Amino acid sequence: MMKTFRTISLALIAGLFLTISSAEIAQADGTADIKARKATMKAIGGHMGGIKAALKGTGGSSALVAHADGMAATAGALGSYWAKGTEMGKTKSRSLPAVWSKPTEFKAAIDAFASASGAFLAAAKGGDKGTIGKAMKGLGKSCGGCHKNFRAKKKKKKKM
Amino acid sequence: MCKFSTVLVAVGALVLGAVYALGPTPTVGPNSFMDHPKPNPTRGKALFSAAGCQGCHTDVKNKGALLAGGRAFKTPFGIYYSPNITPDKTHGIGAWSNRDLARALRDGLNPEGSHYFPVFPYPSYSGMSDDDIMDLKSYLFSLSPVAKANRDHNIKFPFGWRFSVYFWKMLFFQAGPFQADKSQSAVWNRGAYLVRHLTHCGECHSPRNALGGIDQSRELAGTADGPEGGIIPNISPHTETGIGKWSDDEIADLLTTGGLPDGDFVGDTMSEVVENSTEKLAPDDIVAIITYLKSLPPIFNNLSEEKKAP
Repeated sequence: MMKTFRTISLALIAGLFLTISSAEIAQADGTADIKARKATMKAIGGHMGGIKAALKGTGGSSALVAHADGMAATAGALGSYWAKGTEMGKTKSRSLPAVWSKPTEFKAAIDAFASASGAFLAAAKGGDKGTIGKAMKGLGKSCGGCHKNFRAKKKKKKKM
Repeated sequence: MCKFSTVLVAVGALVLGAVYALGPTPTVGPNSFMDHPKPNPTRGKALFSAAGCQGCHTDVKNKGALLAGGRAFKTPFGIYYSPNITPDKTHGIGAWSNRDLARALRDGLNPEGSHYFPVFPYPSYSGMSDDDIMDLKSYLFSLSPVAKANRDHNIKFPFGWRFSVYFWKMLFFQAGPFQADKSQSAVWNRGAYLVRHLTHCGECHSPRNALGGIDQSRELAGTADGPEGGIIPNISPHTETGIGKWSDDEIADLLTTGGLPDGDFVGDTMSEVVENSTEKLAPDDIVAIITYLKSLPPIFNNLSEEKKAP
């Protein structure tokens, strides 16, 4: 009798635990969002690669404007990828807690990138080398500015 | 038994004393740098950014004043706080002679003659030329003094004992100005001077042993335990794990803009280095750094965070 009682209560407790933890996991599962923001950052990086190549002559000025355009358009939508509850998921994220704990600063950093990429697009369309160079510098600074404060350093995986 | 341990202690003390007496002698003599020709603060300003003084000696996180110190460095040996190097006479280095600064940079000694902890990268700065040290000083002394007291380090026993640095120096410290390698080009030698000494790349990018000495046989091969945690990449010219696949343009881009070959931009400690130091280097110096980096032996050191496919 005693034994059965114990088994039942253990099962109940275990069940309770499982429910709580699975509820928690479900709540904090940002896997889809993390994947989406990684893809978006890669797209921006790809445009940057295209811009750099174009500045060195590959693809010419039409490629430069196309990539600048793509980057500026993506920058406008970038802020929506870090919703609350997407801090963690089954995919690793390097977004720092500061993204969510300092929303004003984070928004400012994203906005800085949006305006820098807008300025770069205008410079690319204008075609003046000096202006493009200056805008490129500002663009790089805005990328680094966000990475510096809101992206974790790379860490080596511990061997199991 | 008791007697034996007494003898042991006495012998130990004798050995330590002998080692101390035979140890490295400072390279800056009592009258060095006293009558150095008129320094050039404009050159000093360029040296100041190349040497990256600003990054460590300014507590950026807490919006501290330029060069007033107080930035925390968490190391395996404890927490160190950078000192005030503004020309304030009480709290900074305003009362220092030419020789005092030369001794600090070249011999790792403070004006009273005790040892600096090698958190201060004097093992790299030691190679700076006389002119560079004096020009740097003239620029430092042209800046605004800030009356901010230094914060004491918080170091684990026994590393807090400055005397212990003496033995560390015996093992890992080679003092004295850079000697050009005559078999190499002037550009290469300039690059070596910059990378090894002035811009002190190896302080972060070279792996260290358990005692914090730089492993010179694995120069710039990177480390998984960087000074502020995280990976410091391998920048030896190894094709797979280093920067062997990078073109000259790509290295120049990184140093002048912080941009990486894949379109990403550096974000952590290196973004500070780019901002304070490498983006201000003269174009010739960038070429010299690239020349030197590409001449190094490629070292395999895989620090990638991705798991390798089996």
